[in-house]
Order: sequence, then structure tokens, then C-alpha cells
Amino acid sequence: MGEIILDVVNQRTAFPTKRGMLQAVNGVNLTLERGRTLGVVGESGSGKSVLARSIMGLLPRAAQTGPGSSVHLNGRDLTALSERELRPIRGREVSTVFQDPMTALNPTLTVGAQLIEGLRHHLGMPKRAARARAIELLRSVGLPQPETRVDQFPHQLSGGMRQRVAIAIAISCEPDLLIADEPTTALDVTVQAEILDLLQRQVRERNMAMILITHDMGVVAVRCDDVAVMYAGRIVEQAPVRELFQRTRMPYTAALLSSIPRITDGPHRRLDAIGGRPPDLIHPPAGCAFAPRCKFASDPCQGVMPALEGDERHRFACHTPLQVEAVA
Amino acid sequence: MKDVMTEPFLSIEDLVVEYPLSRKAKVHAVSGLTVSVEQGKTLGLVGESGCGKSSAARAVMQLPPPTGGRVTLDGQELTGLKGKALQQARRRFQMIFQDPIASLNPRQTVREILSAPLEIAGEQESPEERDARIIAMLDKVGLNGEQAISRRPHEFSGGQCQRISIARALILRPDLLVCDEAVSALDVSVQAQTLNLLEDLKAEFGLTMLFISHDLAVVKHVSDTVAVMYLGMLCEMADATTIYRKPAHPYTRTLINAVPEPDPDAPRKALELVPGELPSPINPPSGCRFRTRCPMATDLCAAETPQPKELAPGHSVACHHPLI
Amino acid sequence: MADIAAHTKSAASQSEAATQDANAAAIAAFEKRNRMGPFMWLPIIWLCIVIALALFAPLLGLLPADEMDFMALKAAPGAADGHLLGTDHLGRDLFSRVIYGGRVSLTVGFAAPAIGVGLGLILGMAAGYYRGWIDDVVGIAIDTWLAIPGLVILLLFAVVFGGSLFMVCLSLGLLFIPTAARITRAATMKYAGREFVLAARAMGASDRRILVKEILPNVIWPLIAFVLIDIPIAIVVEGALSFLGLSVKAPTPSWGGIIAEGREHLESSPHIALIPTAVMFLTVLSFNLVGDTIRRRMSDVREGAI
Repeated sequence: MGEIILDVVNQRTAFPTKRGMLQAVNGVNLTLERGRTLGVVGESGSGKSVLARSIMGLLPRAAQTGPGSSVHLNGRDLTALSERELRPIRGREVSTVFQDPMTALNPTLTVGAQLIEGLRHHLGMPKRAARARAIELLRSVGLPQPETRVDQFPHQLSGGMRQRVAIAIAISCEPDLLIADEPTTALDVTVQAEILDLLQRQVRERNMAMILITHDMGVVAVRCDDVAVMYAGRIVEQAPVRELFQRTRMPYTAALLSSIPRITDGPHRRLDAIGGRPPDLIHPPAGCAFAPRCKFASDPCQGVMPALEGDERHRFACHTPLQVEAVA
Repeated sequence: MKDVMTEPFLSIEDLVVEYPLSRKAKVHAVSGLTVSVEQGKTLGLVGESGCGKSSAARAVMQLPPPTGGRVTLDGQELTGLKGKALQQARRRFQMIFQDPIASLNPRQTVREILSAPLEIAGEQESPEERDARIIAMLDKVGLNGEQAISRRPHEFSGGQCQRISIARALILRPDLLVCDEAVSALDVSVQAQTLNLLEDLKAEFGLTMLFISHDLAVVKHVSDTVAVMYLGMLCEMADATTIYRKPAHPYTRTLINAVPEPDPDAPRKALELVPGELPSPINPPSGCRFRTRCPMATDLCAAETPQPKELAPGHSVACHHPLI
Repeated sequence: MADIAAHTKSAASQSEAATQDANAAAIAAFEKRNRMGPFMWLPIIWLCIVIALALFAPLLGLLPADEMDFMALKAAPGAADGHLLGTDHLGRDLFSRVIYGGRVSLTVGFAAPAIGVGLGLILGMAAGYYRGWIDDVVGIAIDTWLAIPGLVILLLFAVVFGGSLFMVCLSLGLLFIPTAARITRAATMKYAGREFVLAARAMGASDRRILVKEILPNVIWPLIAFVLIDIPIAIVVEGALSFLGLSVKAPTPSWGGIIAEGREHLESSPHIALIPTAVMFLTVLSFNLVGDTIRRRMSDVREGAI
């Protein structure tokens, strides 16, 4: 086992709404080692983005964090820190790449100014060195002509270029953990491929850990070491990527995989759609949240919440897991 | 090609869509697109943002009519129709959009939303008959019509809103359905349901479809023929199986290679793309528009715009250096 | 990892109860924010009383507002029989005058924004929907109109047309047009680009149908919020005009007019000016408080929660 960078214990995050508390994240446990990429997949409402924000401590004020929840980054409990104490940690130890780079970039500042600010503030670099470093960072994220781009404003760049800049800012202070929340969802497929290549290379070269949050099983399959599948605020299955795809145990994961249209399929193949609707997060079912839509659901599934169990490699939360042939 | 060919049901000839920006500059959204679809078939139109696929869809819908070229539906030329004649023709071609929530007026009930096409078409019927018709249509798209009819859009999920949009588009039983990124905003599981529903309705209503999407896997699933566009021009057109198995245009290959397959053991393919930016449609490159990013580009590509060539029956490519 | 899972289970049961308490508190706080407090219902009661009194003034058997009681000049409130709020320097009953004055103030308060928003709505929707030359013409007209100081317009109307109630409403209403038109234009442009409008056009809906059925029900909401701000402004401006003698002519009472008359007798009988001032203050404050609450609720409506 490598050095554990992130340890999330029993994370619960809820939001008050008119109808009651919405349990967005409902008891998530995660550990992440240096140098590894964890993919967190799920559909909208699965809680994957709220989980990311909970780790970053970037939740809206109304959000309630469960009393037993803790997020340890490099051994320090972030939930015990004040906003003031968190500030030097963000960017320096953990940083984020968001779906829409325009929201992450300040439209009134040049690309260089935004990079230099972080470098001077967090690393205390002198101005000249920071500028040189900024250009070097922009080059390393594949921005053409970084010497001139450094003085441009975000609106002068294309969507893909902006995301490259956002990544440059995120990695500028050499964080230990990078959280990428749907970093390529707003981008075209060819640009997506380039940005994912870039993220993967940066994680490897800088020996960071990365949490890649996405709805796209395809992105997870080729870009992550481990995968956590989320449903209704919980992790329902977690395993190394090949294990998860080849020896799927949780029926939801299996259903999700078979509902994806694949480029290798023949035309007009009927998709195995998942029937029913996602669960109500305000009044979740007592048992397994997926039970009402699950083909294999039995009595205990309706009444008893399955725990996330299994061996060190492969854990799943299911009373009626799919059978896979024994490992040779 | 064979002499006895079925007359295409929808034919788009030399379609040009341009938006003026100022007195001098204009956006060349679509520059001479020629494609056709046979009755009961689906033409998938793929490409990345800025390739003109949505502009082409709007032009087919006459929303607004294109700058140039002809659109013919079942022998009737839509381009050039005006006023009453266009309004009458509109019941034969309908459209569904990407954003399921924005597609429905938040201030109206589902009854009002589905009544609109009937009222506009001047259907004479009693309120009871109209309600029965709306409920039947809602049932067809997989909603509980009785319950849904008096609700408002915010009471439905995104997938259900998209079903209401589909019901609105189909209630007048059109011949042509244009889907502009109709499943792109939906979650995977809902997307699968919606795609299956569209396939079912296509069979039931005998629809011809123009299916626009950036998602190659989705397009392959629903289409009989696939056309790939880049920066306002057609790159390649072939039947769905061929174009994915044997892409002839370098851009088609790049697009296919870029799709992340949900299989960790799938071979990773190189993009085969010259790094750089998508050129601006205001000032597109001369000759082949893909040449600035094409690894195979030569001087010829800059000098001459490649015309679509037929490689095999039904498989045409606009490239000076096709891959096959 | 296995020990983490075990640890989690015990922690989960322990924290379950605490979580529920915290959740209950959060919900309570959330609901409290949305509940109607005294700052909502007190203004509503006040407004109901003021509006009802103004509306039904002729049926209440009040003393005529211009009848002079020479037996009770400048009577303090309660000092003279039959004069609940006392009388002014001419012996006119202040209670009647404040109520009849309220008729003028409230008429202006409602009519001026209605005129302004009505005309602004038409101009804004036309400009935002059709764009092109209509948009240019409306834009230039509004810019020109805004270049003339509002006070000049009000004075011109008062001088040229005299102080009739209708002209006061009209001149004030015209001042509300530019903002109303701009709000409408922006909202119309936003909704005109939405897919549901495109869908209506794809069905062959006429422009009129799209404007009335699809766009109007959506743009009306931000305008209502705007009207709620304008009502108290109109009341205050009318008061100021009356004070300057540029609104309805004496002896027709209006709040501003009564205050202006009472100003002369501030030292001897402060109640003549202070009573209408207090009534106006409370009315304007109430409109603002109620308006704020309604606007906050409307943002919920717009988000689709209601």
C-alpha cells in the first residue's frame, strides 16, 4: 500500500429543502493513495459532485455535514478546520478542475495574472520567477505559444484551451490531490481525449492522486485505476477498473454498463434500459435504494440497507450480488 | 448507383446557412450540404460543436429558411414556401430539442402544451375529444396520460419532459422528425429509455428521422445512414456499419478514435489529429476545411475543395487522400 | 480498509440520532425563513385598512373633506367632538382629509406604474421579440426620453395640462416606461431563444400567438416585481408633487397637499402635518415590506418550486 493521501470517513451531506432534508451524500468512505486515480461515476443525483465539494469544503452554507463525517487529507482532518485555515490547503494540497472552466477563471484577469497570484501567494515566489513558472506551466499543459497566451484573457481562448489553463492553475502549486469534477463534459470528443491525456500525464509525472468525477463509463474505463460507482448518495460498488468491468457484482453497475450505447454495437440494437426512476433522496427507501428498479431484488433488499462489503479489492453493497466465476 | 432508385423522402441539396455578423463578416455555418434520406429511415448527422449540424437541422425546419439550397420533403419543396402554405406544411415535419426543460413552457400545463399544435393546425374537436387524444399520445410516450395532463413541467424529471416534447412533436402525426441532440442532456439510463422509445415510435408512426448528435455511439445506434460534418461541410456519408468499420475520411477516423469505450481492455487508439485549434467558421480555411488539423494534408488540400466521391454504393467521401 | 468499514458501522449508528437532530434544526431554520412573520402580516393589515377606507370613503358617512368647522380650528386629535384626528387650520376634519387624500395617493400609486408597465411591456416585447429596426427605434426613443430629466417632464405636464389626477398619473407613468421596457426586452429576448418558443414556431404558431401565449406569461413575473417597487415610489413622488402644488389642485386633498398646508402651522399644531406624514410613511413602508416578501417568493416560483 502506498502513502494514503485522502481518507474520507462516513461522509454525509444533506441540504434542507421545502419537502425535508435531501440526503445528497449518505455515508461515503474512501481512501486514496498517492499516484492513483479514482473514478467516481454515477448519474445526476447520485451525489458524486456533492462528494467532491464536501472533500474540498466548498459546500453552500445551507448544507449540513453529518456529525460522524471526517475528511483527512495528509492526516489532517479538514472538517475541523475553519475557512481561514482551509485557504492555504486549497490549491497547495488539494485543488479542483471544474466542468465549466469559465466559472473557475476570473474573466477580468489575464491567464498569467491568475497563475502568478497562486504561485506568489502559496509558494512565495518572486514576481519574475512566478511569471517564468507560469509560462512553463502553460507549456506543460499544451497551450501553444505560452509566451503570448500568458497575457491573454480567458475569453480570448477556446473552451479546450480554457480547460488547459484551469488545469495549469490547479497543478501550479503541486497539490497532492487533484479533484476533477466532470472536467470534459462540456468539451467535444476530440478535445476531451486531449484533456484526459493531459490530466493523466500530469498525475503520473507529479505523482499526485486524482479523483475523476464523471457520468461517462467510457472515460472511467480508460483513465482510472479504481472506480467507485455511486447511487443515491452511496458508493454501491468499488474495485480496480478491470475488476469492476469484468467481474461486476452490483446489479446497478451491470445495468448501467449495459444501457450504454457502444460504438461497437450493430445499428438499431435495443438498449437494455434501466426501468423506473431514480430514488427520491428526501424520502429514500428503507432498504437498497436501487431495489425498486432491480431485476434481482428480493425481500431483504426492500427492508435492509446493504452495507458496502467484500474484500480489500472489490467491495459492493448488495444482498443479491451477481455471480462471477471463481478466480483461476 | 442503380437507375431504379427510390425517390428520397427528404432531400437536402446544396444547403447553405450563413449568419451575417457585420457588413463584411459572416458565419459560414453550413456551406453546401447535400444529403438525402429514404422514407422510414434515419439519417444521423454527427460532428463536433461548430460543424453546422444544428444549423442544418434548423434550416430543414425552415427556422429560419436557409440562405441557399433546396429542402424537399416527399416531393414538396419546403424552401420557398411562405405564410399559410408553410404553416400548412409544418404539420408534416416536427422537431425535438436538446434541453428537455427549456423545451416546455414552464407556465403551461401539459394539456396546454399538447393542445398548441392541435389549435395551430386548426383541428376541429370538442375539449373532451382533444383531452382523449392528448392522453392517448401521452400514454404512447410512456407517461400516465390521465395524471400527466394537468401537471406542469417542473413536476417531471428531465427524461419525462423529453417524453412530453416527443408527444408534442408527434401528436399531429408528422412524417419527418428532426432530433437535435435529443438525448444528449439525459442520464445514461434515461437516455437508453428515450432511444428505445424513439425507435418504437419511429416504427409505429412510420417516421423518417434526421438525428443530430455529437455522440457517435448514439448516432450509430439509431441511424441507417451516417453523415459526418466538419466546419460546415460534409466529410463522409455511408451506412452506419461501414462508416464505423471503414472510415475513409481522416476526420471520421479521428472522431471514432476519440470515443472513450466503456471497456478497459479496448485498444487505445491515437487521435491522428494535428494539435491546434478548430478554425473559425467566420474565416474558414481554403480548400478542405479539415486540412489545418489533418495529418495527411498536402498542398492540393489547400488549393482545391474536395468534392464528394463515391467509393462504393452509398459510401461517399470528400477527401483528396481518402484512407481507403 | 476492512477495519474502516467496521469502524464506520458503529459510527453510523451513533451518529444517526445526532444527524437527525441536526437535520430537524436545519429544516426548522429553512422553514422559518419562508414563514410569514409580523413583518409580513402587519403591513398587510395596514394596507388592507388604508385601501378599504380609501375605496369606501363615500359610504362611511365621513364629514366632507372640505367642510369647515369654525368652532374647532386646529383642534388636536380627540380635542373636539366628531373630529377623531382633529382639524386643520380651516377646521376641516383631518380624518376625512387623510382618507380622501389617500384616494388620490393610492390612485396615483397604482395607476402610474400600471400605465408605465403597460406601455413598457408592449414596447419591450416588440423590441425583444422582433429585434431589428423595431428594437433600434424603441432603444433610441427610450434613450431620448431618459435624457430629459424626470422633474422637467413632471413640471411640464403640470404647467401645460394643469393638475388633473389623470395627468399626474400619466406623467408619472411615462417615467416608468424606460425601465419597464428594458426589463421586458431582456426577459423577452431570454425566452424568445428558448426551445419552447422554437417548438411553437416549428408548429407554425403566429407571432401574436407566441407573444401572448408563450412569452407573456413568462415575462410578466419580473414585471410584477418591478411594479411592487414602483407603487411606493409613485406614492412618494405624488406626495412631493402635491407638496410643491403641482399635483391635484386644492381643495381636493392629497397627502402631500395636507402636509404642505400643515407645514405653516408646524409650531402651533404639528399634528396637521405629522398625521398625513405618518400615514404616508407607514403605507410606503408596508408596500416595500410586502413587495420584498412577494418578490422573494416569486423567485421560488421562477425556480419552479411552486
